[in-house]
Amino acid sequence: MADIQTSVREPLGTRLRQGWQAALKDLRRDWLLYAMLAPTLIWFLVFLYMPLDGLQLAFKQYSAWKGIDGSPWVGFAHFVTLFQSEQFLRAVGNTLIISAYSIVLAFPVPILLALMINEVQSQRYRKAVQTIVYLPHFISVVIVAGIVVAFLSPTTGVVNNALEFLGLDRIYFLTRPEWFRSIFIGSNIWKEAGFDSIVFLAAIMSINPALYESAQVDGASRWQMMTRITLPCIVPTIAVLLVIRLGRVLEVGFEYIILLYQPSTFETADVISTYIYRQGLQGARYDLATAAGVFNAVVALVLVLVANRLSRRITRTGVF
Amino acid sequence: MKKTIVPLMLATLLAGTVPAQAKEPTWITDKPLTLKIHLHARDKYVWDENLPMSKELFRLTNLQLVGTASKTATNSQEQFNLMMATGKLPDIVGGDSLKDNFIRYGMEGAFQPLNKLIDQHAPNLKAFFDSHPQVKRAITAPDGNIYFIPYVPDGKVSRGWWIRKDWLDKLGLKEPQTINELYTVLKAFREKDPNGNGKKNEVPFFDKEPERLYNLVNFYGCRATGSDASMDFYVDDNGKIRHPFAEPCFKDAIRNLAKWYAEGLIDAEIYTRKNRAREQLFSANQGGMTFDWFASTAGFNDSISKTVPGFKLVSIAPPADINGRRWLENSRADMRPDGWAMTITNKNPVETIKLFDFFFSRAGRNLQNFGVEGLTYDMKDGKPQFKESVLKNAKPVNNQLWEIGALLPIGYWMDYEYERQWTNPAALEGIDMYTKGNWFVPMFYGVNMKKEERAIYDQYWPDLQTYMSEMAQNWVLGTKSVDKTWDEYQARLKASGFQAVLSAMQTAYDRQYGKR
Amino acid sequence: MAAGVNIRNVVKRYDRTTVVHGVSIDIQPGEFMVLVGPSGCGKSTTLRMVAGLEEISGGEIRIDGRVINDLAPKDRDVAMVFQNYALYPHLSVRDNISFGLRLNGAKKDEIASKVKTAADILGLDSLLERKPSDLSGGQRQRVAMGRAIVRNPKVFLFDEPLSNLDAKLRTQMRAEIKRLHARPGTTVIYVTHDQVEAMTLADRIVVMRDGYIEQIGAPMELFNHPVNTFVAGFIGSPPMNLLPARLEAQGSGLGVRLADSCAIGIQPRGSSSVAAGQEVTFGIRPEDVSLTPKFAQGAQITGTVEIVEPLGSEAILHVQIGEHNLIVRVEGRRTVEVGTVVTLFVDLERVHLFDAQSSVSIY
Repeated sequence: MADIQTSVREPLGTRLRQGWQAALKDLRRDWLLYAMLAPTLIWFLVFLYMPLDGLQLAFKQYSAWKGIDGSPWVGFAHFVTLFQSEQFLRAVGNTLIISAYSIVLAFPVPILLALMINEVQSQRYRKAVQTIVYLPHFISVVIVAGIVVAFLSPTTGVVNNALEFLGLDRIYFLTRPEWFRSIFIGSNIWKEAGFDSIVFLAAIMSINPALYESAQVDGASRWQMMTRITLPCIVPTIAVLLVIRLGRVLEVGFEYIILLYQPSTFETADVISTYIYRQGLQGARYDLATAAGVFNAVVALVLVLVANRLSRRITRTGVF
Repeated sequence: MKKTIVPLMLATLLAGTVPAQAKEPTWITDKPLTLKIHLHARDKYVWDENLPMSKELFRLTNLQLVGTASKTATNSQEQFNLMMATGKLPDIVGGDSLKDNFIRYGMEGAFQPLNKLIDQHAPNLKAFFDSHPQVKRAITAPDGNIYFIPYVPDGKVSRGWWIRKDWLDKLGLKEPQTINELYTVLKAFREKDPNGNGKKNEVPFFDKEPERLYNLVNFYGCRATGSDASMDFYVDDNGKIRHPFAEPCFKDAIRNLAKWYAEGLIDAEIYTRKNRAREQLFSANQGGMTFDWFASTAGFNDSISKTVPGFKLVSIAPPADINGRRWLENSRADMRPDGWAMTITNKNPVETIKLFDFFFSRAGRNLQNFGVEGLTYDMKDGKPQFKESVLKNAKPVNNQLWEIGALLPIGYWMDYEYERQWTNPAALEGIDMYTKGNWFVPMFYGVNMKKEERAIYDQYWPDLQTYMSEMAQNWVLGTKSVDKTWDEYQARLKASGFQAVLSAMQTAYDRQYGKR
Repeated sequence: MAAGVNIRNVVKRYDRTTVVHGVSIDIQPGEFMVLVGPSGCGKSTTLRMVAGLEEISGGEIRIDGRVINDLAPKDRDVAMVFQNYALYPHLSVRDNISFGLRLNGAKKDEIASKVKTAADILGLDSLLERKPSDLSGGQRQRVAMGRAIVRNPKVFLFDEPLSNLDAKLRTQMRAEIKRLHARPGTTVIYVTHDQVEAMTLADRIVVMRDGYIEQIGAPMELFNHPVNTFVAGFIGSPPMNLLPARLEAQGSGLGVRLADSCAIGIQPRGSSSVAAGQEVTFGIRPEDVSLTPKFAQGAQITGTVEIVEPLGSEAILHVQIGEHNLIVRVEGRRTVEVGTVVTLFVDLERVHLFDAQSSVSIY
């Protein structure tokens, strides 16, 4: 009889109490672990979840005085405004194109760089190379933009002097829409490729050295070791970073673009963030900017989900 | 020892806490009154009750303003929004570029309408508005109320045309009086090697603000902007709002600018050189002509002549346009979108409006323009005069004033005399010439739109403005042909709500300034 | 096919530290040679020099009579199995096994048949399409061996291949390796720190310490005739009892005084040079002590049982003799109570004596 009774489900209240007691017991036993988890959890709550409340701005006519709750609802009006704007659509297109180009052109560079640095035998030379390629990362974009402007100056710039020397015409690069993407992506590679290569170098360092020794005994050349061991072994790292990168496909940093672009290059240079920046300047339109942010986030989420699924299927590695 | 020091210390302490104020004629209230003010301006200045200017204000008015804005914050606009969003309003809010916010939130109930208070308690303001109706109109909200008191600049002149006199002399040319002469001069600068280095590296016309290059369209009888800002709307003789970049005459004018650019008369790098253009091109002995502020540009005569022998930069009257008329769009605004307002929670509106009024009185203007009497200025023949120590100081006079808390963008009336006393003679010469010439065309102060009008403006104008600047730049650079794309440009403006923007602004304008 | 390996005065130096001091080993074609020693003794370094993974700082190594000092690893015709298997995580078992063949551009059908043969030998047929991450430790080790087998090298090199496996698997894999070696013409150099592995697998064992060779010999030779206390203590499990003692005259012969109350009389052996008064280390293997008088020449000592470790078919006793502890392996299932005073019989033919200073075997 007793056995039968215990197998009957307890009333909800009892179960809840038992669950609560179990949780308390866990908490008491592992309180140190929970305490260590707490700062991160609190950070997430305060900085990522609580601000979610502000997303309703995208659907409101925001007035700082009336507050978020007091501001009237306007439905999808801000989204309609955005999508009726040819320039916003152009900015979305430009953002995607710049992102796609930088994924195709800029994303592999740190990988190649890491592979090449890894092949350097002399420790001293290697350290020198690493320092030199990491340095640009620490230069502010304002200065990088200044350097780019100076390099590409139509009258005194090195590039144009070289062009002239080769008997070619001088080009006012920064006013030519057809050059903008190359300049933007190229200078970004120069600035970030070295620093980004650190992750890949770390991944390469974590490869079991016995793999190389084994391959060496088997008669692999250095090139074969690179293509058949190093590269395949860091594919999971590459995949994860690529997924993360895809999630940020719409986040083209606006500071640098604003420093480099011109009305005459808006055609290729104007991206969502710069569009919003200009919109914002016209009257601190937080509601419209939020709407654009929501749009960004939705697109990014879809991209991440798709990319993650692909990554799981192909490399068996994913971010989640 | 102890016994003697303690009473002394006590005395100082008492003196510090309860200032033994002698009643001044300018007192606003008999009992000392403290009001809270949020003032965060130009991303770095805040109201600080400990600065000499604030203390002097207390002494003069018996009214103490205590600042509430964060001294460490670096974005004034953000601080304003934050303060509004918390809902805890101080008594007074002030700062730069807040006009639209004052009007918007005033209409939403955050700020008190000031019209009645001005009429009843503010004789100086009332007198000022009576004599400056254009300022009163410019700050009046669509509902007919005044919600803030603006910063009112004084003086007429802002930017002027500057040219290398030594180059003119070297090439045997006179100061250009007409557009044709100007063209000849710039051409000569380009072709005849006035800097004598054997290279054709002269930059005849340049500007540190790329958009100022469009001011050259004035010489073709065409507007470039309606205010001191670039690419602004203007109001024509019939009281109609227009945008210079959409006018038919702009087509011709910009085509000519493209020609100038192609001929090398305009800095090839004008769009990327920016802030330090004058420093770069003058010190390299390459720049010939620019359009810029008087004081700072005149200053190059001192700094550059040491390295470039014979360097002489002079201001010239605007050359006459193709119709033979001399004119200038850029002058000093009669009103800036800065100032202060009284919040709805302010319990002392009368005292507050009297405070606002104080800064339009002589004593208040002296305090705000010249600082503290005896500290930064003395009275001479009944007029304020900066102390020698202030004028001779290595720091610019305005910086010294900022440091003691004066010049903050509250609602006040500037006194041009303050600037005149420390403007260098070369600049003053030009300023006087421009003031006497009085070539200025009336300025447009913008319109205060109702919500519906604002919605239309916000929806279309940013895109339109982007498109206009995009096209203008392409035309100047020659990447797009003016003749081939003009019709398409006009059609696109039409399709993108240009007329809607104009008519929204027109409605607001007619309401605000009266239909003509 | 099988090849001999001759290691001659091989030295390995890193900057100023020398880790291998002039080691010489001659390995016969088809021999299974085990290098054993504690970690840091230079055994792995020696092996890696044979493989070509470390440069040889001095001396020379010949494989099949050819000096290979300056040859690239792939030209030495050796195959190596690594401690942590060194499997390519991104390749299937089949591709792992055929990796070397494909590198060298072997033909497809040749690869297929060789992989098949190797898989048959190692019982990997059903696992060929799996990734290493889906395999157990033993299976991974087999794949690593398969990779070596398909190369069909003159010499197999094993670098502690079983140390990552659990005890049971290790026994099983030992058998497999033994089987692999049983195929005609396979020379094996095998590095381990586990003397059991060394004993069970080796034709001959090289015991190394601190970059020097202590002794080379067949397993039983090392077991029966260790040249010094190091080898004596290293080979055999439980290790040989090594107790400090003093020689004293005892009638016509000599006595080994282990404690005040305990001395063992020994007969001089032909080659030994022992004399009374000498400080020595007395060595006796736990197997060579018994609770029953079963030895032809036995000596008796008495002690108190301190610890009993029953292992089922046998038991290990720790017996206190004077201030020393003697480990005794007793056969059978008889139990001894802790605290019992027992009489131990020592097999005098198996007694070892080492010089107390030099540790060298003297008796």
